[in-house]
Amino acid sequence: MDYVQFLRLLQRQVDTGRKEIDETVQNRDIFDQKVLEKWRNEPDFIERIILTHIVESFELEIYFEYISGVSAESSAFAYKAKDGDPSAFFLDAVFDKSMMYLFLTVLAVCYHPESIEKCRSMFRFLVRDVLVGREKTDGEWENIIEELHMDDRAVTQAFDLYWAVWTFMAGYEIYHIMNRISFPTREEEFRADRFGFQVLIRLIQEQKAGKLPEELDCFYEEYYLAPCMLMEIFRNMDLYREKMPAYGTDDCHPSPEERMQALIDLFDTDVPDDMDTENGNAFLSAFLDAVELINGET
Amino acid sequence: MKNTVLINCPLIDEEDLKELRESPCGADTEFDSVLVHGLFGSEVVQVTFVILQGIGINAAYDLIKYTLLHVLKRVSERGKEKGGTGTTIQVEVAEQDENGKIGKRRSVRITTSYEMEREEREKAVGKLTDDLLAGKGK
Repeated sequence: MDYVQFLRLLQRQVDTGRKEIDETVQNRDIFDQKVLEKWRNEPDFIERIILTHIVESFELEIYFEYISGVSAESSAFAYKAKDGDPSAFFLDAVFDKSMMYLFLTVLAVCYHPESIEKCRSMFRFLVRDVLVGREKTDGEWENIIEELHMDDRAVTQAFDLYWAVWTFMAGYEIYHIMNRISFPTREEEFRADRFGFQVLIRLIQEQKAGKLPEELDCFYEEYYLAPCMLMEIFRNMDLYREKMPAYGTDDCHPSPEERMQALIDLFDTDVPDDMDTENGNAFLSAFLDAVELINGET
Repeated sequence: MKNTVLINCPLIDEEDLKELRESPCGADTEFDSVLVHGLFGSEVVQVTFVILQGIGINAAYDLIKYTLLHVLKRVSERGKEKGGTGTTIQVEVAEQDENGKIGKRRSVRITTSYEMEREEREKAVGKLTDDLLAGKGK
């Protein structure tokens, strides 16, 4: 049995939380019904369209599978197979599901600051107990959106943000599949982040030019700094995390703060001049402010 | 069909796998290394055992304990050379039936210092293996 086979077996046992999300959105007229219907019948179809599009758009010559399952880590990872076998981009389903709910929670604060107490408790539950503690990975998630009384705009934005982050993660992992070395360095990590960012920017530009499949109507300019929001979530995970020693040398990943700064520093080189960045900058500020409020850091 | 052991750790090389294959408990087991790279820090060593249903608790015990002790020994030696002080090993055990279907899965973690003496390592791995085979773990 090769590793990808094993990962595929994990996939069959997953509670992806789709049912709760489906129940949440079905009464809101904010999503294309045809896309929703297709998503119900073929749960990974959006992910597959995005991945196919990335490979074609960047003319990549790689062979990998996308697999979502439950792993030991709250993360995504790239598996580079030996010659001839498929590699894999694996996304932990609990991490994936938590991201969506974390974005909903933070945006609930942005739009409904009066719900801060409820959001604070949900945010801590998701980061500390689910993502870091790997406890309570099933259930107890239902009705969060209804409980937070989120309006349609906030829900739509959270979903779009989720796809922007997902696309960044996909680009990051694809970079590692293409450039796998035994001991990645900090520089390799920054390069992987940069490629993930470039992938996101490319999809935003392509949507603007009408070059994306119609199902992917979520790549707007205001989400161009979404990867920084993911780093903010990582920073919060680190706050709750027991310091775990890495094997051998220090871990090669720069800190979330360093990664966020490096992404922001790409502004001059990687963000096209014709991109409207004003809303994206304001969105990141609002997101960071909301997390600060949740953490009581003000 | 054979049992499968997948080791995710760049400090374990082909020589180690050969040694494990040739060990007394390696006869009915495939050993392979996998290298995964995560999205963010604190990567752990992962050792995944896919055990055939019906193999018997004693055979599984020997396989898990022998493999973990070998991994721990090598990681301690080579990790120390690279300036590390310790590591966390995530051990996952899954049962597989004759149709390839994965049944029960559970995992536990062990955090060790590279300075640990051999007896201490054996004690820690023994307890972890006992726990796993007693159905403990997430």
